Amino acid sequence: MMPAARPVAIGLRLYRALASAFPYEFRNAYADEILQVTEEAIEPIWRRHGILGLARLLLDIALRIPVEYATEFGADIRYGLRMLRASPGFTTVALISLTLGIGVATAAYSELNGFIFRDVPGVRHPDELRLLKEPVSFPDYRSYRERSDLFSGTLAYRAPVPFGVSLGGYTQRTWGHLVTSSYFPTLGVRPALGRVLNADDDKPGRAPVVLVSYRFWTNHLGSDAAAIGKPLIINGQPCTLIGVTPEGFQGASPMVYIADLWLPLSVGPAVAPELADNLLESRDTAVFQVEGRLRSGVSEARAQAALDAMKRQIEAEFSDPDRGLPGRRVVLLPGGKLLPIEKKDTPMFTTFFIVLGGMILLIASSNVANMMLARALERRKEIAVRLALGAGRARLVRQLLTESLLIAAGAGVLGFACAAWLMRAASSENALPYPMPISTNLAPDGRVLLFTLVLTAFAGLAFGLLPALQATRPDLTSALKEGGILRVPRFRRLSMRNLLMVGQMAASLALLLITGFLVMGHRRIANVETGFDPRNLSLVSLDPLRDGVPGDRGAAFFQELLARTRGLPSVAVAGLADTTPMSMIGKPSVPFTVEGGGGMKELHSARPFTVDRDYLEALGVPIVVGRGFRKEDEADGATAVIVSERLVRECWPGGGALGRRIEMGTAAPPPASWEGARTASIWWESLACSRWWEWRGMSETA
Amino acid sequence: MHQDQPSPESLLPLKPNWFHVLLSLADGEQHGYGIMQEVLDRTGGKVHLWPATLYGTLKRLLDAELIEESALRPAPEADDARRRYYKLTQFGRRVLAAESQRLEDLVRVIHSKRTLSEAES
Repeated sequence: MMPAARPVAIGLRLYRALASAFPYEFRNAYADEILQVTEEAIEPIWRRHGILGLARLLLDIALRIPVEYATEFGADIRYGLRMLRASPGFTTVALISLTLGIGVATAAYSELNGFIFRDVPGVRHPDELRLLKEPVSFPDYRSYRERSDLFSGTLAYRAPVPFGVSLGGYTQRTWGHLVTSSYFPTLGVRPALGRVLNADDDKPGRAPVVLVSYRFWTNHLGSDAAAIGKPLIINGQPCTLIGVTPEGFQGASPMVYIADLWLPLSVGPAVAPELADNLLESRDTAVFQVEGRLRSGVSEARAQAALDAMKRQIEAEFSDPDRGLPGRRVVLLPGGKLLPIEKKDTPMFTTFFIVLGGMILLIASSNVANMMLARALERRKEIAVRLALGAGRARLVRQLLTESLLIAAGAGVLGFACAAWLMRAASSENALPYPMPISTNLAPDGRVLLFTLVLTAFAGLAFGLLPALQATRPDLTSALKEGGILRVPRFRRLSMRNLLMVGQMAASLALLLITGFLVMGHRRIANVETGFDPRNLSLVSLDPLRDGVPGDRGAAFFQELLARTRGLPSVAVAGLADTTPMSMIGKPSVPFTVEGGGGMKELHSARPFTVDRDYLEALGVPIVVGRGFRKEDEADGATAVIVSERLVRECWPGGGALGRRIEMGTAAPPPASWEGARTASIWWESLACSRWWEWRGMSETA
Repeated sequence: MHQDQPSPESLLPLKPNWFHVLLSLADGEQHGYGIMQEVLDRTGGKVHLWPATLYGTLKRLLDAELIEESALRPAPEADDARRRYYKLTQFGRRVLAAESQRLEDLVRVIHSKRTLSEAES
């Protein structure tokens, strides 16, 4: 017996400690007895089973504790459900309030998640990718890509590029990227079928090749593996299909420029007119998106500083007119994110969504908390009786919390379902009226689900805890004396109810103001001063070049089309232009110079629109001063230009646009020289000023 | 209390622990340690109702009104004040009887099967 004393004593001490961990009610009722039985049984157990017996004894109680807690929790849930069923009005209102709150907050987070936090799908190690904020010219890219000490790979692509793909007798407009052969290896994309581009595909003069997306292969090529190696007619030219990208991969920037086709830059302007004007050699056409994969150990700041210094050097070398301007030339963005935004801008997006969602949830929670408080006051008698009978306060608080968590859980499920439905509807590709497909995947994922779970738990605690604590305040006598009818103190300052009310009002007011400003903003955008009259205006967009019609025949085709359209009795006036106003896809701004004071030239830039003589009339754009284009302005060598009011304000603040001259490059500058570009420029004479819409714009005749 | 009691059959088959405890109380009231010992002796040490499990079972049997606390206590010198004594309720007795009947039927079926297969061989 004597040597047994020590393990038995230790075992008993452990057993007592464990017994005190039972839930309150079970401990009250049975802990003493369990200890008594154990004290009697432990010696015989030690004698018969030794240390294993003691371990089994401890394991028995250790396993029992969670079981008893679960039983109590189950009882609480049943009781809570019964109480909620007993007051259906309260339950319904509380559920609706919280469902709205949680639903809106989840939707807001889901949107945030879809835009900000998601990575570009199908790309390897997206966190290593960096994107240059501004597009660059191809010669600049050539300089950057030499820096293999910074980047393990670099790529450049032009996007968005529309392609006309001939499929079974009709032409399908499909958006794609014109890419360097390093595009796929740098992104870490392996083909699902066939091969990706290799260095040979970069060499000019090679037979054009193309890769298509998995989606395109499924939808238009019937998932036929034999399509590899066969020609695909793109912009009227046969291109050999060499590969299919993996499912889900839609290019390096699927949200901004979704892609279903990838062609190497070597295809040349015959296949892709976007490459015309010797684009790959032109230093002043910055249209290439550049991405690089940072080498491990190279910081973003270092890479950015290095590229910035290179750009300055290039500017100095080629006497770039911008070289004197202050400011950073190269800014790196996270290239692996769906929406590439600068790190410093991320909090701006996140805070907005979080404040908005949080405020709505706060209103819903305080609404429910207020109702809970009123209900708890009604139930004080019941609670007081239970306290008097020896129920623990913690136990009662847990009971009341179970009820609020039940409501929160119900609302969480409903709210998440609502948000999921809403976001799925918003994610469909054609949800936005935009000429190019924009892929937004806002559907909630695991991260959003986790967010909703935390939110629900928080909401349940937030609106349940305070009323529960108030209701179980142990001033029993007053509650018992009042016989169930309880006076609610009316003029107590800053009571819980007052605080909740004030919070609710304040949040509601703030939300109303935010909503008001948003609506005002939307109205301003919707009624933007376009400068043209959109009523009875129809647009037909054609691209004969991409259907394989040669350039000269294309011009004739347009003249013919225009003549026949004008002949239609329902058409008052018809005009022709190379792009639509306010279009996000079109020619970028071009630099031009005007004659400043003292014979100096001033540099400006504006977006050019090439139009025919009836275009402004067709659009209903009024000519403020001067005249519209005439037939003689369309002759070869004519140099008439119409400028916008805004351009006049900017270039000639003194007014008087008529007869002013601007100097602007013609179509094709000779390779790689600013000086060269100048010699090719010509003077255009302004003949009118139009009330063009508020973007910088100029019109010249076709 | 008794009108909303379920029928004894609805509780069958009983969990083994429940059956052992009910069986121990069939002869009269007993305290926790006594039940533990009785089960141990009766099963030749095969079934050990460890204390926490035993009281978990007792609590559920009390909740289901199969057993109740007994007011009878032994002489003070043979008693521990912390002990409580338990006895079967009327309902508990009916449930025990029903479960015993079920097991007897089962045993009878097993016997007849065995006889049958022995006759065949």
